[in-house]
Amino acid sequence: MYPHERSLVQRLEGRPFAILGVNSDDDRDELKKVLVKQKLTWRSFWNGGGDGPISNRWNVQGWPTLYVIDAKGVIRHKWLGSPGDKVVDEAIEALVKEAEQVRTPR
Amino acid sequence: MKRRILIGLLALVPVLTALRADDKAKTPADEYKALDKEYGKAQADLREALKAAKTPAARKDINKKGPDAKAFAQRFLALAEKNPKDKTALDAYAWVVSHVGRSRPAEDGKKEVDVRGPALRALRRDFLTSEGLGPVCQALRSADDKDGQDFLRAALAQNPHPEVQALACLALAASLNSQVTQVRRAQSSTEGREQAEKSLGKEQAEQLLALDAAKLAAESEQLFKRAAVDYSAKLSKEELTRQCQSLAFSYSKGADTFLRHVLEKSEHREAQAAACMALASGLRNHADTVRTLRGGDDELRTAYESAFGKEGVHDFLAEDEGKCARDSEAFLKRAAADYMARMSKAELARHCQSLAYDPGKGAEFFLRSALEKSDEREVRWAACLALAGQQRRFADAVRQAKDADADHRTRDESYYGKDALRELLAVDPAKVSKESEDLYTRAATNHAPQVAKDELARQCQMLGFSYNKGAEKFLRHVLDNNDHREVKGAACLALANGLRQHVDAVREAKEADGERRKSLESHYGKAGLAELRAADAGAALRECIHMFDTVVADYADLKDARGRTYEEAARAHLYEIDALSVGKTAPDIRAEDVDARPLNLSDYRGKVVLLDFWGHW
Repeated sequence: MYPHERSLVQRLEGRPFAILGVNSDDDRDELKKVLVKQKLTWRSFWNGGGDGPISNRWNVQGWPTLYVIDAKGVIRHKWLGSPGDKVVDEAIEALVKEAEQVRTPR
Repeated sequence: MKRRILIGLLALVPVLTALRADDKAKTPADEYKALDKEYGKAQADLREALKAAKTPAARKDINKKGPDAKAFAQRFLALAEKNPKDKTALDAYAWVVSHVGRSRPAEDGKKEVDVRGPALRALRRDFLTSEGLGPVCQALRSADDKDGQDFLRAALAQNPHPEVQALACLALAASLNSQVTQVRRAQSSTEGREQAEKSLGKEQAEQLLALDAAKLAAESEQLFKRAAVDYSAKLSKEELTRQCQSLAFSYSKGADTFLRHVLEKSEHREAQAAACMALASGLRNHADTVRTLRGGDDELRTAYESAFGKEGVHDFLAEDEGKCARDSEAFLKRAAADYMARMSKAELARHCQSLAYDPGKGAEFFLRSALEKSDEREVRWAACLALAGQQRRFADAVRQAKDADADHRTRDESYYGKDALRELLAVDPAKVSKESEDLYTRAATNHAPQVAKDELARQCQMLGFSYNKGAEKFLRHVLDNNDHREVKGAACLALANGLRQHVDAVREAKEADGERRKSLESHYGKAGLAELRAADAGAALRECIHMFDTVVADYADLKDARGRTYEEAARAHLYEIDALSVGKTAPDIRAEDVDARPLNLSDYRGKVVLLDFWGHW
C-alpha cells in the first residue's frame, strides 16, 4: 500500500490530485513514528481507533476502504479492500485528466 | 526467658481457636477456592458489564478496568508462599503460571513486577518431582522464553512420573517451535527487531536475536519425536486426545511427526480420531498458506516475511503444497470412514463448520458422511449448512480453474496434480452451484425448525456476511417461517446486509473496465461476471432498502454481535446508500488531522482525492 501511494503522489505532483487518509490507529505517537519512517507525507484525519466517528459515519465495514472523489466533490469509485494498484491508477489518471480539461478548456 | 515465651504463646492459643471458629475459610485449600471463585466472579461481572455497555468507548473503559489477572496472581503467590509445604501451594503456583506470562517492560520503560518468576523458582524448589506438575507444564507450552523452557527441561529430566514427563516434553517442543518464528521475525528486518524490543525489552530482545532458529527448530522436532515414541503411550486417553486437538492449531513438522505416530500406533481410537483431524486441518492450512504466497505479489511476500521471517518464507516456498492438500484430503476421508463414531457431538459439529471453508474432495466426503450417517440432529444440521457452503466454494474453485490463463493453469496443475485437475475441469460448476442452493433449502426446511433459536440467529448473522443465492433462499425461508422474533430479526438484517453486498457487486461489475474488469473476471468467473452485469441494479437496490426499512420498523431494539442495536446498524447502511453512493456529492469531513490541526475534506475541492480509510496495525 505505502509504496504505491508514495509513487502516486510523486507521479502526479503538480497535477490536481491529493491523498487524504482517515487513520484508525489507537496510538497517535506510534503512528507519527510510522509516518516518518514510511515517508508518508500526505495528511490524515484522526479517527481515534477502529470505532471512531468518521469511519462510523461513513459506515466503513473493513480496512482499507478507498473512495475516489472527483474535482467537483462527487464520489466516483469506492472499494472495500484495495482492488489492485493498476485499477486505482487507471481510475485516478482518468479523473485527473478530466479535471485538467475542465480547468484549461481547449 | 524461655518460659515467658511459652506462656505468651499459650495465651495466644484461645485467640487463634476463636478466630478459626469465627471464620471457617481458613485452610489453604479453602482460601484457594475462595480466591478462584472471586476471580471467576470478577470475570462474570466484566462480561455482564460489556454486554450492558452502550458505546464502544464505554466497552474500552470497562476492558481497561477488568479483573487484573496479575493482581490476582500476586494474591495466589502470597497464598502459596504462606503455606509452602501444603498441596494447595502447587495449585496456587500453577494458577499463577497459567494466568500470567513472563514480565514485560511496562509503558514507562520500567520492568513490571515479575509474578511468574518467583512461582517457577518455588515450584522448582518444592514440587519438581511432584505428580501434580502436569498443569504447570501444560501452561508453559505458550511461554516462549528461556525461564519457561529451563523449567520444562528440569521437569523432563527430574520428574519421575511418565505423564508429567510427557507433558513437559510436548510443552518444550511447542515452546521451542513458536520461538523459531519469533527469532526469524526479529532477525529478518529492522522493523522486526524493533518490535521485539518493544514487546520484550532491550535485554530479552538481544537474547532472542542471538538464538539460532535452525537449531531451535531441530530441537523442537527432536522433542516431538521423543514425545511420540517414548511418551505418547503413557498419556491417558483424554490427555492424548486433548494434545492432538491442540496441535491442529499449531501445526509444524514436529507436530506432524507426533500426530502421525499417534494415528498409527495409539490404542485409543478417540486420540487417533483427533490426530487424524488435526493432520487434515494442519496440512490444509499449510497448503493454503503456501499457495497464497506463491500466487501473491511482492507486497504479499513482504507481509509474510514480516510475519514469518525471510527464512520462514523460504521454507514455505520449498514445500509441495499440492501434496499437503492431497494428504489432507486423504486424512479427511480416513477420519470419515474410520473415526467419525469416536467424535463427540460438539466436536463433530465444530469440524463440520470449519470444513465449510475447504473446497476439496476430502471435506465434501466428510460432510456428506456426517449428513447421511450421524444420528445426531445437531450434527446433521451443521453438516448440511456446511456442505452447502463447501459446495459453493467448490463451484468457485472449478470456475477459477476453467478460466485460468496459461500461467495459472501451470500453477493449478502442480497444485491439484494432472489427473485431479482434469477431473476438476470436467465438472459442471452450474450443477455444483445448484447442489449448494438445494442444500441451503434443505437446511432451512428440514433442519432449521428444530434448531435452538440462538444457534439459528447466529447462523443467519453469519450468512449475512457471505451473500449468495442459496444463502438468500435460506434467509428468506427463515424470515417467512420461523416463529421467534430474534431469529426473524437476524434473518432480516442478514438479508439486508447480503443484498447490500449484492448491490455493490452489481454496480462494480457494470462499471468496471480495463484492469478492474479482468480482475473481477478472475474472481467471479466469466459467466458469474456476465450474470452480475445483466442483473437489475435498481430492483436489487429497492429490495435492499426495503429490507433495511423492515429492520428499523420491526426489529429496531435487537442487538448485533458488536452490541449495536439493529436500528443503528440499519440506519448506518441506509445513510451510506443515500449519501455515500457513487455519483453522490461526498459529505464534508470537518475534523482534525493526526497532528491535531484542523482539516476539511472540502478544502480539496478542485482536486481529485483518494480518501483512504487506513490503519497501521
